[in-house]
Amino acid sequence: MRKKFLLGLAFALCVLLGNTSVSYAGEEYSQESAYIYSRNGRAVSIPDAYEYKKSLSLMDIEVDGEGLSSASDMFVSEANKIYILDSIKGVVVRLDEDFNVERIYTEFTCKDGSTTTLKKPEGVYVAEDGTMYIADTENKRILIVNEDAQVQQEILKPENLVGIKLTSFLPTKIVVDSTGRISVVARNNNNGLLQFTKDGEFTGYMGAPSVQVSAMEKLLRKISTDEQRAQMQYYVPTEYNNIKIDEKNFIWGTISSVSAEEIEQVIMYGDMSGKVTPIKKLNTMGKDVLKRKGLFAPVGELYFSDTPSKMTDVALGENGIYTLLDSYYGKLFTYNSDGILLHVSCRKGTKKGQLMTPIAVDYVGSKLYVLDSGLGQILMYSPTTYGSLLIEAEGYSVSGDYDLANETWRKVAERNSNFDYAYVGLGNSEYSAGNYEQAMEYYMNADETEKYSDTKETLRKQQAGSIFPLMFIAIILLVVILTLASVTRRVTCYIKGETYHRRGREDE
Amino acid sequence: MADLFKELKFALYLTLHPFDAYWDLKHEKRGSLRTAIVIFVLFNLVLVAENLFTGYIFGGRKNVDYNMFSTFWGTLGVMALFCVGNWGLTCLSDGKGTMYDICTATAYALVPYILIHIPMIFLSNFFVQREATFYAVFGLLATFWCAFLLLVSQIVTHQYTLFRALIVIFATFVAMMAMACLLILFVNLLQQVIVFASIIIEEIYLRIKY
Repeated sequence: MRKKFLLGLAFALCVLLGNTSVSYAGEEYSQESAYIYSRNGRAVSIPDAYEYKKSLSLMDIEVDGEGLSSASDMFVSEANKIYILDSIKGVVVRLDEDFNVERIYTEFTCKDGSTTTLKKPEGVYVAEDGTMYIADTENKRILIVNEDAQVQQEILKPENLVGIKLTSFLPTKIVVDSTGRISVVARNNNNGLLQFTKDGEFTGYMGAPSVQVSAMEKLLRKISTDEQRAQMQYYVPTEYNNIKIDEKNFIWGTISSVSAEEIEQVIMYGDMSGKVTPIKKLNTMGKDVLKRKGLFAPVGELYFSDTPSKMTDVALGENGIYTLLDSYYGKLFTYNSDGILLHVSCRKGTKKGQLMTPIAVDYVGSKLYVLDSGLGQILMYSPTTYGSLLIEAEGYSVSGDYDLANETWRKVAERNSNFDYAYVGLGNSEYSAGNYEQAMEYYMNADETEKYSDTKETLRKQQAGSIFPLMFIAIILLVVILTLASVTRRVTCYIKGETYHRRGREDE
Repeated sequence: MADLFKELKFALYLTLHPFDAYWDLKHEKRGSLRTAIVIFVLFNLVLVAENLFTGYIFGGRKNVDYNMFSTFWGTLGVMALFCVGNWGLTCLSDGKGTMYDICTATAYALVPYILIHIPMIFLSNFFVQREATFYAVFGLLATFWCAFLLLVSQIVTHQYTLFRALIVIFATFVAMMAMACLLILFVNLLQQVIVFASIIIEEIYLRIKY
C-alpha cells in the first residue's frame, strides 16, 4: 500500500513539474530603427548605422528666377562633386560635398557656335576629367560636353542595327567605363544596355535581363493564335531602371519590374542563383557575377504583403559595400561584397530624415546622399559609430588584417548582439590565427554549421588522425574481447567438467 | 534485483533472437512488466541525453528551456495509446495477447534504440558534417531494428500471421489517431464546462458580495 502511495506521489510530482515553462522576451523590432534579418527571416533591431545630417532643398537653387523642382538624376564624381540633373529646366548643377553650388549649366555651345539645350534629360555621368555624358532623353540623343559647356559629341539613334529593331531611341541612364566605352539604358527596350565606343559607334547590346514569363503565360502563349500572341508582347519586357559603374568596370544595374510571386519564391526557397533579382553586377561579357552568399539573396524586403522592394538605384561604397535604394518603402538596404545584409536604414515618412519618393543614392566616401524628388531635396546621411565600425571591419576582413579585423568585429558584436555576421567575422579571424576552439565557439554562436564543421575537422586532424582508424581499432578490439570472453568461458567449463551452454539458453 | 539483471540480459538476447525470446517472454515468464518499465525509463533517459548532449552539428544549438518531462509525457502518451489501441483490436482480429503481454512486448522492442543511440551521442561530438551519412545510418539501423522487433512481437504474442500482423499494426495507428482526436474533443468540452461553471460561480459571488 505504501509503495503504491509513493509511486502515486512520484507520478503527481512529474505531472506538476512537467507543466513548467519558461517565458522569455522575444526579439524586438521597432518600426523606426535600423534592422537586419536574422537566420529565420525575422527582422531584428540593430543600432542605427546611418543618421540624417542635413539636406539641401533644390528649390533654393535659382535658375531663371525659379528654383529647381524636378530633379531626375544625381551623380557623384571621383572628385566628390555632386551633379544634379533637372528635367523640367534641362540644367546640370554641380555642387560640392557641402552643398555649395559651383556651377550651373543651362546651355551648351556646339562646335559650330550655336547653343543647344537639354530637353527632359534623365541621366548624367561625369568622367574623371570632367567630361559630362548626358542622356538627353526627349531630344533622343546622348550629349557629351566638357567642363566648359562645350559640346564634344552628340550620339543619335544608331543606324547600323542589323537584325535588332530599336523603335525609338530614348536614352535614360548612362555610364562610361575607363576605356571610354559608353553603356546606355534606353526606354522601351528589353535587349539590355546599348553600348557605344568612345567615338560614338554603336557596338551592340549587353546584359539583357532575363525574360520572366510565368508558367501560366507560357501555357497561354502555346494555345493562343498568332494575333493574340502579338498582343501579348506587352507583358514581356523587363528593363534596367538605373545603372552604375565601379572602378573595376563592373556595371551594376537595378531592375524594378520583378513580380511579387517570383521574389516570394526566391525568399522561400533560399534561391541564390540570381535568375530573379532586382540587382545585377555585369562583367564585360554581360554575365551577372554578383556574389550571393548571405542567408538570403539581396532582394531587399523579405516580408511584404503584396509589393516587394522596388529598387531604383544602387550606391557603391568602400570595401565592396553597396546600398540598394528601395523607392517603394523608402529604405536603404546595405550589403557587403558577399551579399550579406549589413543593415536596413531609413523609412518613408514626413519626419526629418525620412524619404518621400527617393530616386537616386550615392556614396561620397562613407556618407550617403539621397536625391528625393518628392521632397525636392538631397538628404545627407553620415555613418554613426556603429556604421563606421562596420565599414572598418569589412575593410580589414577584405584586406586580410586579421588582428585588426578581430578587434573591430568584437566592437561591432558588443554593440549589436543580433548580428550573426560579426560572430562569423570573429570566427574567421580566430580560424586564421589558429585558435580553433574559439573559432568553433564563435561559429556556433552565429549558427554557421558549415564553418564550424570545417574547423572541427582541422582541429581533429591537428589533435589525432581521422576518427576512422580509431573507430576501426575500437571495433576490432571489441570483437577480439568478446571472442576471448566466450573462449575463456568454454575453456573454464571444460576444465570444471561442466557442459557448456550458449548464453541465454541455460536450460538446454 | 538479481531477477532484474537476469531479465535485462534476456532483453539483450531478445534483440538478436526475437522469435524465440518473445515466445519465452509470454509463456515462460523470462521477462516481466517491472523490467519493461525499467527499459521504458531508460529509453526516455536516452532521449533526454540526446537532447542535451548531442554535438552542435547534429543537434543544433541546445534549447535553453528544455523540459525533460515533456519527453516523458510524449513517449508515455504514445505508448499508452498504442497499447490500448492494440489491445482493443485483439478482439476484432482474434489476438491472443493480454494487455500485460502487449505492454511488456512493446517495451522490450525499444532496446535496440537504447543500445545504438548511446554510442551515437558520443560519436556526434566527434563527427564532422562530412560523416553525417554514417551518423544517419546508425539512426536508421536503430529505427528499423525496433520496428522489426515490434512486428515480431505482434506475430508471436497474438499468434498472427505476418500479413495479419501488418494490417493490425496499421489499424492500431488509425485507432491511435482516433483516440487522440476523441481525447482532444473531450478535453475541449471539459474545458468549456469548467469555464462555464467557474464564470457562473464568479458572477454569483460578485453579486452576493455587493
